[in-house]
Amino acid sequence: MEALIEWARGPFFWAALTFMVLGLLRHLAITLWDIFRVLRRAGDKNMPYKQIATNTVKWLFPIDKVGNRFVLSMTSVCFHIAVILVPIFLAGHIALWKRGTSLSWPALPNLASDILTIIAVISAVAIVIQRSMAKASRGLSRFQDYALPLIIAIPFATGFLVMHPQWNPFPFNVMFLLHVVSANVVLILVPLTKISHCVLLPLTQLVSEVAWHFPENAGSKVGVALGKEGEPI
Amino acid sequence: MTSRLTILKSILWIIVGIWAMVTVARFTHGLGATTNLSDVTPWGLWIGFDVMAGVALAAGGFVLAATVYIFGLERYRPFVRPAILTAFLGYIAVAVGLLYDLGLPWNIWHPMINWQHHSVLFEVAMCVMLYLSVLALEFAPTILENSLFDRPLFRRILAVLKKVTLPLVVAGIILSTLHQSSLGSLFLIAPHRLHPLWYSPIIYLLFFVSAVGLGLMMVTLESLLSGYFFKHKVNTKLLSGLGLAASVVLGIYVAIRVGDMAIRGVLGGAFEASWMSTLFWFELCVCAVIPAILLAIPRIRRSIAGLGLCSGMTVFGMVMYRIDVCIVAFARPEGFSYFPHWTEFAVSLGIVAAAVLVFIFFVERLKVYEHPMDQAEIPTIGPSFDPVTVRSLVPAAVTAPRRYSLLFIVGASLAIAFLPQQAVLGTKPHYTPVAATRTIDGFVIENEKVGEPNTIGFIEDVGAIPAGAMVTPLIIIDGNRDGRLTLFNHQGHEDRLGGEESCASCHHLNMPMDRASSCHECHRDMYEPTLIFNHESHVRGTDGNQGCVKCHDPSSAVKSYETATACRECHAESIMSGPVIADPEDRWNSAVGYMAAMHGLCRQCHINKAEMTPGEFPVSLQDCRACHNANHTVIFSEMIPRVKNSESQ
Amino acid sequence: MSEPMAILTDVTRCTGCEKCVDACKVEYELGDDRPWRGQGAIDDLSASRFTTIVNKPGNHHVRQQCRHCLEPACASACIVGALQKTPEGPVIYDAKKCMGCRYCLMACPFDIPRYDWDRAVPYVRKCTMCYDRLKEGGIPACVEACPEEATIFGTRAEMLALAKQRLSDNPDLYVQQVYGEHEVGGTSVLMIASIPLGFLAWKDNLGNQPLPDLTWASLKKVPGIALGVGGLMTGVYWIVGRRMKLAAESAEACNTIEPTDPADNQQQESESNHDQ
Repeated sequence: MEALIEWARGPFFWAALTFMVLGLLRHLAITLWDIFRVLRRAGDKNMPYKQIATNTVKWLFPIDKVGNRFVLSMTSVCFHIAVILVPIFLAGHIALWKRGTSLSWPALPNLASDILTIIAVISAVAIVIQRSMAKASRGLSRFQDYALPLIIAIPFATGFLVMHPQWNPFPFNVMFLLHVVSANVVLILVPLTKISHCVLLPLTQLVSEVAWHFPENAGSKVGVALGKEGEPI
Repeated sequence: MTSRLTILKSILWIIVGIWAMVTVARFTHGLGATTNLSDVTPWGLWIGFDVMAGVALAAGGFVLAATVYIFGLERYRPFVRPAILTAFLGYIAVAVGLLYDLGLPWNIWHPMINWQHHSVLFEVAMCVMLYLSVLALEFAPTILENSLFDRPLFRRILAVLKKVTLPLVVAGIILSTLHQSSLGSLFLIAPHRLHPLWYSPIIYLLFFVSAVGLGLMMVTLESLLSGYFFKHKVNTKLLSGLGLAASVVLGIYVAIRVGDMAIRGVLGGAFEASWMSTLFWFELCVCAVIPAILLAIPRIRRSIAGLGLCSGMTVFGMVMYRIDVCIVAFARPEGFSYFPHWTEFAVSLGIVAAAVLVFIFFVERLKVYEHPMDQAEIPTIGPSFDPVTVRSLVPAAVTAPRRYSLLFIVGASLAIAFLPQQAVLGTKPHYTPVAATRTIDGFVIENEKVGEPNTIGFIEDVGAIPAGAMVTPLIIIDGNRDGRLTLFNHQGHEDRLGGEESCASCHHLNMPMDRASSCHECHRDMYEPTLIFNHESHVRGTDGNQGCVKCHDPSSAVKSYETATACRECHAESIMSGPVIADPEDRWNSAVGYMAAMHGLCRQCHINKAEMTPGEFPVSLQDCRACHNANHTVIFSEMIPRVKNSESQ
Repeated sequence: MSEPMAILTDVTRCTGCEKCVDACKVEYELGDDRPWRGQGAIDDLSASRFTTIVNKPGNHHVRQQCRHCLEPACASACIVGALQKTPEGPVIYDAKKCMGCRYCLMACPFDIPRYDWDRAVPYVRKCTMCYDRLKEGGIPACVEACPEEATIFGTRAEMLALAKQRLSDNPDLYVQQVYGEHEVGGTSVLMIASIPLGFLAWKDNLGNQPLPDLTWASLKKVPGIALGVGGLMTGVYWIVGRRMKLAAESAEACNTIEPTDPADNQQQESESNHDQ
């Protein structure tokens, strides 16, 4: 068991982290390149860049859209805050970083981490329930949309039990291994699934903004309107 | 959809990914962290394979250039461009490999300003450098022919280059001849180390002739492989011509190699039953004898299978010849071996993989082979707006990079996972196992005169015990961990320091409640500062998980040794005062090395005593020779094997 | 002081106290030993130990250090001239020139140069006979530190004479050989002992021929080979070209269809290839 834990927090963790970082960089590079390519091909000199930029930023923080489905939006916001803050600012994690790489940064108080962890687990479950309840979103959902919040909740739940051994009904080592392995799996999933929106979001938004700004009256004859009739898209 | 070429490229990209990560480790933590090189094996795989074999494998370039441009055998012209491209990429690969192997790669240009005409390596370096330039010029027309460069300036350059082809070819042949042979001359200076079956005063001739043979076979192998992967027809008629030439050259090589040994009278060594003679015959047969014989048979050299077998054997055998000379047959002391670390293989393979990818890139876009390449084998994938599944409207030329970049990342992550700790965190001294102080059966004959040394002996040395001898186990200590033992008069120390109650003045000055546990129970690695703290036993002693708060303040966010209560808060009464070895303030959580501990303990105590009571303790006792003197050290160093045996019993 | 200097080590006087090692470590600020694989191969020299004592059965303590050969293999092998033989005797190392090829480690018959394997910026490390001290008129630190005068310093001629004097004074004690007088052309570190000292090198008997000569035998042919190959290739090209031209002319003159011309042959073959 000790050897397995060592492996999971050593080589496996480094591989997962490297995969996540390089994978996200790869996504960034590819998306940027695609935007550049699309812009060049469209040849539209009158692109409303200012509007695109403001819309992109606006969609990054869609505060005015919260009212549409208030409960789901709030659950999602809570989930995101907890999921981003806890792994990065948990004092124990920072201590590990310090030991391994001598890097460190300010930590959250342990109580705050505990509360956020509970919020993360509960909101993950809530997201899945709400998604499956609403007819509109059910139609749009893929398998990964249901699975990912639950998968992400695993390292949080196990992490909470690891932090509080007095409430942990299972053997400590098993919980610890489960925590590390599930966290590594999430890291690997980041660039392979829609979790990659963590870096891609502004860019995908930008892409759709660009795409919405074909010339006026383009209609179905986009190629003609752009003066690129007969060329491959 | 997945063609042979796609599979090949996918594998190559994974290797390149692994290579990239090893590269980072190599250049941040140095050679020791990423190789198995040592002072007895200063040149390893990176020189043996990447440089020595790499240069030889690229010999096809000058051989084919000579065949076509000088000897006018125009029918071999289709092979010239691929051969030149291989040579060009091969030499770049050599240069890159060298950058990894050099300890100070940023100084690689130094030979250009510090000319050393007496150094073979200097000659090799200059020739390789010049030849690389020649190859670049020889290959440049292939690039400039591309429609991308269809401009007046480039057309003029192209015209000039075509005019100077012949001088370039002649220069290339001269430079190749010189450095192919000089790679062998490198080893002339080490007759004391290179095995006599490989050392020869004319080793440069052997290297040159073998390079010519290898060059021909490499061109053959490459044609076969590119035929397989690009799915175009292989002209076996032409290849059989190369095969015949190779057969002759390889025959000459065997004749020179064996003849030279016979003339010098070392051929007898090849018939001794030893590893080296077996290796010699295996290598000679694989690289030259068998291919030469097989290629002499027309039916074999006209079949693809026959050519593939022979060229594969020669390439493998000649690479082995280089590696044998550079590594295997190059002497190292008994008990020391060298096998490359996987990171070394990763770099060597990664450079080759990158070279192959560049080769494929050029072949797909330029007119390297006469047959045009099949374009657009991969169908366009249907549209989707999911940026994650990387599907798009674009053709294969754009989707392929996505697949390969993903594989690159997979390779890189795998490499990170398996990199040795030293390559990630830097080198640490090697693990030194620790054994307890040893004892050996001996006897003491007390000298009647008080103050004179007693006679000490070992039962096994003398056989029978002399009369009046007192049989006793003698304690020997090995303070430097180097097998040089010295006798330690434990009884004498005990008596002088005040009997049993004095144990603590030497044993375990910092450990609580400990009298004579051996050091290795805590200090697992002598050279590495380690934690002198057993967390597990403390957990058990403080009611399991409920006891954390006893040491770790609940308000402290993180439970680590830095934030825990100091040991002396609880164990104040059991820590001896006045520790001799370590300064507890300074390094309270780490242990000193064994030698420093032992020497610090012995010498410091003697120095202190001599200072405090100069009359009783002579100053000379702090001198090394107080313990490491003729009577002790020497006898014991002879006894090392026996001591080891008694330990294992 | 341009007269060649030398160190004479009398193994019979050495008690193995390693004061020389300590002095050397202090002089070059080498610090603690950094154990590394391969160290202790035939001795325990390392990048942090330029000299050491090899203990041999029978109370023999043999000091291992750079021999400062009169014609050093390492200096002749060095591609950038980082290793140089000085007229005073020492073979010195210029870290600024070095590019880290380690050919000197391969070439040295005594296995002396060691490498900073555990450093990201590694250098070749070896004894320099305290060249900086010599220039100021001093003597090497190890010699200064020796309490038994087992290792002493002077001009090479003096040391050689002294060594021979001791050999003849005490013929029963010593092996009748000054180790380093002739080995690989002579060295600037001389040793006398009551045991054979061949174990200090890769081979018991290295011979008296300076190793750089072996390389020079092939290197001196380089200009000849370059000119020869160049001339030969140009010649062959000229002859082949001329023959092809003549054949083409004669073919044209005869106006026959017979494909005797190699160029025609080529054309035919390429055609047949296309047919395939």
